[in-house]
Amino acid sequence: MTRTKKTVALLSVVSVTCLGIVGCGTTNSASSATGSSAKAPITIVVASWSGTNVTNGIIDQQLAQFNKTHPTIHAVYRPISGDYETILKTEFVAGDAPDIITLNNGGEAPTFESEGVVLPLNSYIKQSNFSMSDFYSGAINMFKSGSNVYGIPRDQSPLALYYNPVLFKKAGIFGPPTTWTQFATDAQKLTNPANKVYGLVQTPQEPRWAEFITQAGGNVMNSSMTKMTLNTPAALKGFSFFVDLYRHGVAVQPSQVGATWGGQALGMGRAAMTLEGAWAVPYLQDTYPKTQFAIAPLPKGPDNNYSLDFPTAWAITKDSQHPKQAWEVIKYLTGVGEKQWIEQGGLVTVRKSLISMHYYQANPIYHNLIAELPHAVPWNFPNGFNQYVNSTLSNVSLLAVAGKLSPQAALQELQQQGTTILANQGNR
Amino acid sequence: MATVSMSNKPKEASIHRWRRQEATTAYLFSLPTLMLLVAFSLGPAVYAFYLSGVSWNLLNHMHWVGINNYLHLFQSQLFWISLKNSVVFAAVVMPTQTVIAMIFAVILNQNLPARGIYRLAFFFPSISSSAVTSLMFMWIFNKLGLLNGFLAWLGIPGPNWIGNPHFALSAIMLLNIWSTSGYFMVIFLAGLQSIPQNVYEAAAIDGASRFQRFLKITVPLLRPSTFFIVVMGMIGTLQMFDQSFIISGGTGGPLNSTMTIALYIYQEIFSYGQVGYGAAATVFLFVFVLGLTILTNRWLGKPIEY
Repeated sequence: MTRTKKTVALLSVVSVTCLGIVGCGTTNSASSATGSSAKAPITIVVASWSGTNVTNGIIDQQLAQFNKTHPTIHAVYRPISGDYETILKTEFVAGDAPDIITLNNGGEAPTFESEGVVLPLNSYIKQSNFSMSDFYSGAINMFKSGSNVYGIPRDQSPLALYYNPVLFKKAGIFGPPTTWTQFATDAQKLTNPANKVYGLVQTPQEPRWAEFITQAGGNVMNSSMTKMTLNTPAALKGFSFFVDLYRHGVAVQPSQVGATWGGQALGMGRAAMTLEGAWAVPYLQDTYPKTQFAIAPLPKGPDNNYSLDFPTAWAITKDSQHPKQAWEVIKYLTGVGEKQWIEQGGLVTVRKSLISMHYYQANPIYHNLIAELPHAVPWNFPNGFNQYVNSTLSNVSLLAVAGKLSPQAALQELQQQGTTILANQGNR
Repeated sequence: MATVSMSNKPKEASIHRWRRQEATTAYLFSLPTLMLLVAFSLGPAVYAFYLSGVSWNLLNHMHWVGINNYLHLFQSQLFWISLKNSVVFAAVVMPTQTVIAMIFAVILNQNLPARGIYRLAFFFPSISSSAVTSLMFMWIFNKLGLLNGFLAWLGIPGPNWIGNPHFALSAIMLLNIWSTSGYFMVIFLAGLQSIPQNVYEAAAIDGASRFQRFLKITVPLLRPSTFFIVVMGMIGTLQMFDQSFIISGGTGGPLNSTMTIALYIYQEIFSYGQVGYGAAATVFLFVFVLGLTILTNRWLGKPIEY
């Protein structure tokens, strides 16, 4: 009697264990079964980093509308919170990445493209006669490798000058600066360390100083991204101008005024000016409704008035079982959806035809951001530059800003490290 | 035993069978745990050794490169910076938290009024999420935050704790000491309960002062607890990741000042796709911690006799 009891108990323990293990496998086969059956709609998972409630809401709404008009496809949105690209990588390793992902600028997009985890979209574009000519070329080129198109632009934002008109008025300045010289003298006038207010509050970590190099006529790399070009006189001119703002005490890091980024410092009333993209608009309106802010075109540099641009794009992953249906979703999101995307989220269009849409007339705050688009150049690096972009660039510029490296030595260091990476490409 | 078996053979056979059955049962019952352990803990740990010999960026095909990852690792300046940061962090935090935990445990072991509330207050940090406490401390350490407000009230100009490479690691040290001392205090409290009271009474009769009794009785007799706390504290501080990650926003900055070896491993593997380097650093950390633990065991691990 006791023995049978024992055996039963043992069997149950073992079977529960086995169930637990088998359980992992069942979900997979179940989902693929529904996918292959003819009647049930095909599920397409769309992923992006979890942004504000606003952006999450927009994608949900757009997909719901898409599902209404496309009964054979069921698209669902899955926001990824946390380290977006890291989580995607682990999902690629496991082979269960979402069907559609958002490619970001300055991130892993080049790695994803060169390792073939996102699909070239050329054949889909051709088959469905999808016109690419309406997109801004900067936004397309960012997600192109050779002739392969890997992403259809979702949104973008050039950098613009955000400023606090109240602080300007107090300092007796009428209107935002339009040239570098004005920018530096205005920053000087606006700085008041006793009140913890500074002319410019900006992280030197971010590609903000590259903006000045570009406007001085230089660049971080040549256009084909095969050579570092930080050793040019133009690069030194732009970088020195940026570094000197900090060394003269008219620019500080956000942490110096208790903020984490320039937009926050502006909202807190500690920054008279900061260089940000469109993403700061909904943030400032929601988080700091009492702080007045305005947006001006970037002050013009000695050579040009270029602005660095930060586009994002939709892409289809290698793990998608139904790339054809995923393409339908992307077509919708970047076509019909693009207009709603702007209207509801207040972001900058990637389609030239939408530039005159009613929304922008009703919301003049975007006017000067949009005005930067014709001369916006995407901030881009080739494969292998992750660490360089995430850590080297910021560390070396931080040393320069703190006065521990001369601008010249800093650029030389960056030039040399970048050249080493370029030389090592293919050896790894 | 031998005489029993001589006299009664069938009985011995049944005992034998019973034992075997018992062992099988035990293994079957621990099977679920063992499987989980092998699948999610031991297996991956062994796999890390293998990964330390390959070149792989998570997305491509891995290939074997032998000891090249180690050679690269030992030439990497950032690796040595991260190791130095971790060692400095452990060398400051571990002794401090041990001493603070011991002092608080001894104080709260007295018959103080409302000691339950104090015990709760000191233990509370260790049951709160480390992500939450890190965020909380980011506000405390903010340039215009609570701590600098307090310092300003005392007439001291506070530094930019998180933004200044000279202070960032110290800020995390303070946070870590605050959040772990309470947990270790509870272990010391348990250790204090097991020290026989008569030892103190005998010493008091012999005229030993309170402080002498603490130094000559409490501290040596707490050695088993101290050993546990030193080892756990050492492992915990050398593997510190979450607080650095949150406070520096995942970068280990400013200027790599909060780059710990665990953060270095994470960055190499997940941010920069250098799985081999990361795994090699993991193996190095394992050997390093193992060695230190063995040394500590020699020093503090001996049993005590009352």
